[in-house]
Amino acid sequence: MDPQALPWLVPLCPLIGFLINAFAGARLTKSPRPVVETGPLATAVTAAPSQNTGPSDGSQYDMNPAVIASGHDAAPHGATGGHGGHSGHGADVPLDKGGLGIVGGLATALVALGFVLSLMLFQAVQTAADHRVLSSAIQWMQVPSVGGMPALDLSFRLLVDPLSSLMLLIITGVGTLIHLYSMGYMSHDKGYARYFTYLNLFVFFMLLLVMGSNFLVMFVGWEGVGLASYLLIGYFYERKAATDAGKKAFIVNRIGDAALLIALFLIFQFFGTFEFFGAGGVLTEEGIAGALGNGYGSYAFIGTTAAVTLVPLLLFLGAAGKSAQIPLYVWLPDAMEGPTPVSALIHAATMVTGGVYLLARTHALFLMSPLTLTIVAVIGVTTAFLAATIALVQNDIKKVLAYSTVSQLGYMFLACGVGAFGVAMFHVTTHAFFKALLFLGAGSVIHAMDGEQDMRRMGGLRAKLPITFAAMLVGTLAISGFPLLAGFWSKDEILLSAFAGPAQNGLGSPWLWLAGFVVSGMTAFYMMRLMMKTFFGTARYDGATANYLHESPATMTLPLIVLAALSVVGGFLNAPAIGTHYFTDFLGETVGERELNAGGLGTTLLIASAALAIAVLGITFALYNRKKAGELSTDAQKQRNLLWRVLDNKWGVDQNYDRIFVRPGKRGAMYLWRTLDVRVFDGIVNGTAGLVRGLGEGIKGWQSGYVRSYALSMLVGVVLVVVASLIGLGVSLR
Amino acid sequence: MNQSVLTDLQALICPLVVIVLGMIVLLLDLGTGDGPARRRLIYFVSLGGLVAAALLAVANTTIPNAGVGVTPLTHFGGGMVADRFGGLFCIVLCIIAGLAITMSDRYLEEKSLNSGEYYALILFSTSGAMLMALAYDLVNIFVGLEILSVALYILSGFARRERRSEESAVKYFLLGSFASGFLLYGMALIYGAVGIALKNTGLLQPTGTSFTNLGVIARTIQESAETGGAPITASPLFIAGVALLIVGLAFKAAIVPFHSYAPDVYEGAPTPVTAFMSAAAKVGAFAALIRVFGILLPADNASIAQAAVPFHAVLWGLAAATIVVGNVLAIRQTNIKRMLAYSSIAHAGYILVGVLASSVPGASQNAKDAVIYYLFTYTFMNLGAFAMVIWLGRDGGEYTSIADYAGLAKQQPLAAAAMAVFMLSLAGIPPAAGFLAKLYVFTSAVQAGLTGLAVLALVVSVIGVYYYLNIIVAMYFRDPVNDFSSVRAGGARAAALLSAAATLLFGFIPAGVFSPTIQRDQPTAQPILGAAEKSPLPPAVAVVSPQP
Amino acid sequence: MNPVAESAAVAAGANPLLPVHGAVPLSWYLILSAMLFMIGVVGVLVKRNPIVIFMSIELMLNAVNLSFIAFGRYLGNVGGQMFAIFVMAVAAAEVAVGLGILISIFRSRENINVDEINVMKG
Repeated sequence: MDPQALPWLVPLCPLIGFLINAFAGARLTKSPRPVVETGPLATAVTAAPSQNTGPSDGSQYDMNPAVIASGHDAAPHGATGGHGGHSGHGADVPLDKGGLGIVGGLATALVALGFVLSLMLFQAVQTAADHRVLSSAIQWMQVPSVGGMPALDLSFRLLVDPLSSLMLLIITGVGTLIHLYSMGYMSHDKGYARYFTYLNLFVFFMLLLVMGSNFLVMFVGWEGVGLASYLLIGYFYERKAATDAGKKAFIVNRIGDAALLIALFLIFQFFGTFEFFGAGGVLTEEGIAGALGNGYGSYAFIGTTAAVTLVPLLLFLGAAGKSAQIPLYVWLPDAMEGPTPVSALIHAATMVTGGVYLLARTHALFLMSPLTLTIVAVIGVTTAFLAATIALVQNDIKKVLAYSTVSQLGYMFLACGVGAFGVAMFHVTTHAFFKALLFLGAGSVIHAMDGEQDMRRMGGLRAKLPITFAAMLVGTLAISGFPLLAGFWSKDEILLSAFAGPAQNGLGSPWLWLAGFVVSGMTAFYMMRLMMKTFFGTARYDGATANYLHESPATMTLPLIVLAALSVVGGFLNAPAIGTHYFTDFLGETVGERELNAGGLGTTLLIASAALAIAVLGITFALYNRKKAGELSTDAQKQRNLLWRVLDNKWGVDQNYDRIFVRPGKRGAMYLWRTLDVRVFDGIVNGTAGLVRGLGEGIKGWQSGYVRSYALSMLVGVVLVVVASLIGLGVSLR
Repeated sequence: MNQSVLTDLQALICPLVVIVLGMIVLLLDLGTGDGPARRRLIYFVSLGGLVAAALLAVANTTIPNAGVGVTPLTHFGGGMVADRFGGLFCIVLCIIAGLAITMSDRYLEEKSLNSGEYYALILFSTSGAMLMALAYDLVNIFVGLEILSVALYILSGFARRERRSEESAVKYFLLGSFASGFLLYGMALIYGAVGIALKNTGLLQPTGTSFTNLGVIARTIQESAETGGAPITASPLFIAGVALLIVGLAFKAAIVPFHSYAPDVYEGAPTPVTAFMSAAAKVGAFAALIRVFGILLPADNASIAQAAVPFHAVLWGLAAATIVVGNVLAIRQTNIKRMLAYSSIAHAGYILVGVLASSVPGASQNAKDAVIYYLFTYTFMNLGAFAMVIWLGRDGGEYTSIADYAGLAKQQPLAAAAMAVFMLSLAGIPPAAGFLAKLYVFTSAVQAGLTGLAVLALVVSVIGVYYYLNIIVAMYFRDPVNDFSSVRAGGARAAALLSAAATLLFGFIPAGVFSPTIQRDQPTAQPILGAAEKSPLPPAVAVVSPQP
Repeated sequence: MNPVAESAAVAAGANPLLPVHGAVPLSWYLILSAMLFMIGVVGVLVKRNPIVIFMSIELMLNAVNLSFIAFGRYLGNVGGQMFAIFVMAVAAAEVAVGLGILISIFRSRENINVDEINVMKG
C-alpha cells in the first residue's frame, strides 16, 4: 500500500462510522413497528430529511432551538434517566435489535479496523527513515504575507512517528474494547445510535489530535475531542447535573484552550510556521535556531517576559485544561455524569492524556525553559497529592476513580516536569490499560446494580460478579503498584526520575520523590478501600436489586479480561530491573529520552515502592476485613474529624471557585449584558442601522423603477467614468 | 500558426460542448414522448452534459495563464485563448448552469413552463459567458457578451404570464442594449486608437491584423511607449475607449452606477433565472474585465503599468460606490430576492476590489487567485440562497418576504441550517467560505497598497452582517407565520444542500479543494511582455499575421 | 482637431499601400458618428415608446458601425468592416428578441409606455 495513503485511512475509519450512524443510525435502530407515542428518534441531522414523509406529530415543532443547535436528540423524551444500562427496562421505545447490532457493530468494527491499520503503521514507522511516516499533504489554506507577518502556508497532513504510533495503538486498541463493551452496556438505551455517533466522532478527533503534522491539525483534533467530550458528558441531557457537567467541562477547557491558542499565535510569530518537523519546523533544531534569531529567546515580549518561557507555560496551561491539572482539574470529577464507558475511554484512557501527549510532542520547547519544567513538576505532584487525598473519602465508585485519574495524570506531569517525557508516556500507556479496566469494571458493577453508584449501598458483590471482581482486583493491584504488574513499573520509573531526574538536567529532587511516594501509598489505600466496600463485607443493597444482580454479558466481560491481561503484562515493556526496555527503545529520540543518573539508587527505590504498596494494600485489607459494614468509623466520628471534613469538602475548591470566579463572573456578565450590551452596543448597532436605513431612504429615489431614469443614471455614470479616466491621464478637456 | 482546426476546437471544447448540448436539448424537446418523461430526460441530459463539459475544462487548467510571463496559447487566428484562467472560469460556469438547472425542475413543472427551451437558453447563455472568459479579441468578448445577454433577456421574461417577469425582461433588454452601445463604442475607439498608433510606429500590417486582438493591443502599448512617439496610453481616444469598455462590462457585473436594472430584474425574473444570472453574468463580466486589465494594462510590466494609472481612480471610485450603495440599499429591503440583488451588487464591489488589486504590480497574482476563489464561493453561496427560496416555495409561488421565513427553524431545521450557512457565508463569517474569500481579496488589496479601499470595504461589509443576520434571527428566534410543512423541495433542495456543503467545505479546506488557483507564480513574476517578446515579430502578432 | 489623428493622417498619406481617400477626412466621419451616437442616447432618454427607444439604441449601434468602417477604411484594415458585420448580426438577433418581448408585454397590457412599466422599484 502507498505509505502516504496509509495514515489517512486510520482517522477515516471512525469518520465513516460517524457519518453512517449520524445519517442512518436513528432509522436503523427505530423499531419497524409503528409506535404512536414515539417522538422522532432521529438526531437533529437526520430529522429533517425525513420530514416530508415522516410523521409530523408536533413534537418537532416544540423543539428548543438550543437543543437543535447542540445536536441533541429531537425527541422530547429522548434518553433514559438512569446511568447507562438498563434503566430503560420497560422503556416506552422498542428498539430494533438487529438495527442495534448493525449500528454498534459497525462502529466497533471500524475502530477495530483502525487498530489493524495502526498496527500496520506501527510496523511502517520502525522501518521508515527518521522513524516518521508522513501522509500526503492536502493544501489547507494560504494567506500571503501582509504587514510583516510571515506568510501562512498550511497543509492538512498527518504524521506518524513512534510517539503518535503509540497513541494510535492506545486509542484504537482501548477504543475497540470500549466500543465492544458499550454494545452491551448501552443496549437498552434509546439514544443508542446517537451514542455511537458521538463515540466515533470522538475517536476521529482524537486520532487527528495525535496524528496532526502541525499545531493547527492538532488543534482541530484538540477542539474536536472537547466537543465530543461535551456531547458525551451531557449525553443524558434530561438530567440537569449532566448538562451542567458538560457545560462545566466545556468552559473550564476554554480557559486552557485560550492559553493554547495564544501559545500557537506566539509560535507562529517566532517560528513562522506551524509544522512540527520538516524544514524550519517548530520542533527541529534549525527551527528553534531560527526562532531564537527572531527574538524568541530575548526579553522582548511585553518588555519583561521571554517567549521562551511563556510559550511552554501557555502550552502547559492548555494541557492542564485538557488533562485536568491544578487549577483546571475541577471538571473531570463532574464529567462522571456521562455514561461509564465514556468515562473509561475519554476521561481516563485517551483524551485526558492529550495534555501529556502535547508536552511530550513539544518537549523540545519545554526543555529550553527549566523554570517552566519545574512549575510543571510541582503542579503535577501537587495535583497528584490533592486528588489522592480527596479520593480517600469519596463514596461514589466513579468519583473515586475520577479523582484517581486526576492523581495519576499528576504523576505523568511530574514525570514531564523532570524531563522524563518517555516515562510519562509509559505511564500513559499502562494507565490506559488499568484505568480503563477499573472504569469498565465499575461500569459492570453499576450495570449489575441497576444504576447504583454509591459504594455504601454495595458490598459483598464478590460472589455475584466473579469475573468483574477478578478483573477489578487486577486493576487495583496494578494501579497500586503491586510488584511486577503494569503500574508498578511505570510508577516506579516516575518516582525514580523524580528523585534523580534524567542526566544533563538537575530537575529531580528527593522532595518530589517523597510527595510521589506518599501519593503512591494513598493510591493503594483508596483503591483497596474501593474494592473492600464494593466486593467484600455484608450486602447493603435492597431486595429488588438483589434479585436483579447478574454478571454482565460477554460483550462486557471480554474487554475486562483483555484489559486485565494487559494490566498484568503491560509493565514488562519497560522494566529496567529485569532488563527490558522495548518501550524506551521504540520511543527513543522522539521524546528526548535520556539516561537516568540514578546509579544504584534504582533498586533501592524499587524495593521501597514495592514494600509500600504491599504494606498499604495488606493493612487496608485487614482494616476493612474486620468492619463488615464497610466503614472504618461512624458518621459522628467523621464529622468530628477536621481533616475528614476538609477532604469530604474537596478542599473547598469548588466552593471557592464558585465564590471567586463563577459568581463575580456571572455578575459581570449580567452587567455587560444589561448595561454594556443592551444599552451601548445594541444602541450603536441599531443606531447605525437606523442611520444607514435613513441613508437608504435618501437614495432610494434613484431606484424609481422607471427605465428612462435608469438610463439617465447610467449615462451620468458613463460621463463620470470617461471624464475621470481622461483626468487621470492628465488630459484636460479644453 | 501550425495549429489545425482540430486543435483549436479541442482547446475550446468546453463552450462547444455546452452549445451542442443546448442544441441537443432543443431537438429532444421537439421529440416524441409524454411530458414528464421528456422533462426528466432533458433534465438529466443537460446535467450530464454539463458535468462532461466541466471535466473537459479541467484539462485546460494546467495550461499556464496568458499574460503572466508566458506566450498565450491562442486559437482561431488569435481570437481565443485557452489557459488555466479560462479553464477555471469554464468550470465555475458549468457549476452555475448545473445548479441553476438542478433547482429548476419542479419550479418549471408547477408554472407549466417549457423546460426544453428553458434549459437550452441557460446552456446557450452559459456558453456565451464561457466565450467571454476565453476570448482574446474584443470582438469575441462582444459576441460572447451578446450571446449571454440575449439568452438572459428571454429567460428573465420566461414566465410570460407574470407582469413582473415581463417588466423585468423589458427593463433588462432596453438597458442591456443601451449598455452594449457604449461597450461597442469603446471597442471602436480602441480599434481606431490602436490602428493609428501602429500606423505611427510604422508597424502596421496592412490588412489582416486585428486591432482588437488583445495581444496586438498589448504590443502596441509597449511599442508606442518605446519608440518615443506619442504613447498610445496618452491618447484620449484610447483612454475613452477603455473607459467605455469598462462601462459595458460593469453593467453586466452590476457595478454602481450601472447597477440600477439589477434589483428590478432580479426581483421580477423567475427565481432560478435570477439565481443563474446573478452569477453567470457576473462571472462572464469579471472574466472579461480581468482579461482586459491583465493584458491591456499588465501590472507586471513597469513600462506599461503606467497605462493602468488613469483607471485606478475610476475603479477605486466604482468599487467604493458599489460596496456602499449595495450594502446601504440592501439593509432596507423586505423582499428577499431584492435583498439578495443588492447583496450581489455589494459582492460585485468586493470582487472589483480584487480586480483593481490585480492591476497593481506585486499583488497581481494573489489578487487574481483571490478573485477566482471569490467567484467560486460566491457561486455556491448565492445560488444556494436562491435555491432556498425555490425549495421553500410551493404551488407555483415563493415566499419572497423576509418576514415569511420567521420560525423556519422549528419546521424545517435542515433548510434553516442551510440558509444560515449561506447567510453567514455572504456576511463573511467563518467558517463559511465567504470569510476566506473576503480575507483573500482584502489581503491582496492591502498588498497592492489599497489599504484605504480595503478598510472601507471591511467597515461597510459590517453593515452586511446586519441584514444577513436578520434572516437568521427571523428563522431561529421568531414565531412561525407560515406553514412550511409541505414545500417544493426536489432539485432545489439538492442544489441548496450541495451548495451548503460546498460552502462549508471551501471554508474548511480552501486550498485543498481548490489547489489550481493557489499555485502561485514566483514573487518576481516575469513581465507580461518579457524580453523574448521584444523581438520585432512577437508571437502575439505572428499569430495574427495576414492569412491568404 | 485631434493632433494624434492629424499626424496619423499625414503618415497615412505616405503609405503607398493605403487606398487614396476622397476629400472627406477621418475626423468628419468620427464627428458624424459621435453625433449620431448622442442622438441615439438622447432618444433613449426622452422617448416613452419602447419601440422608439429600441430604434434609438439601433441608431447608437449603427453610429458605432460608422466609426468602425471609417477607421477601417482609413487604416486600410478589414477588421473594422468585419466588426461592423458582427454588430449587425448581433443587432438583428437583439431585434428579434426585443420585438418578441415587446409584443408579449403589449398583449398583456395593451399599452407599452415604458413609464408605466414600474411595478418594481426601491
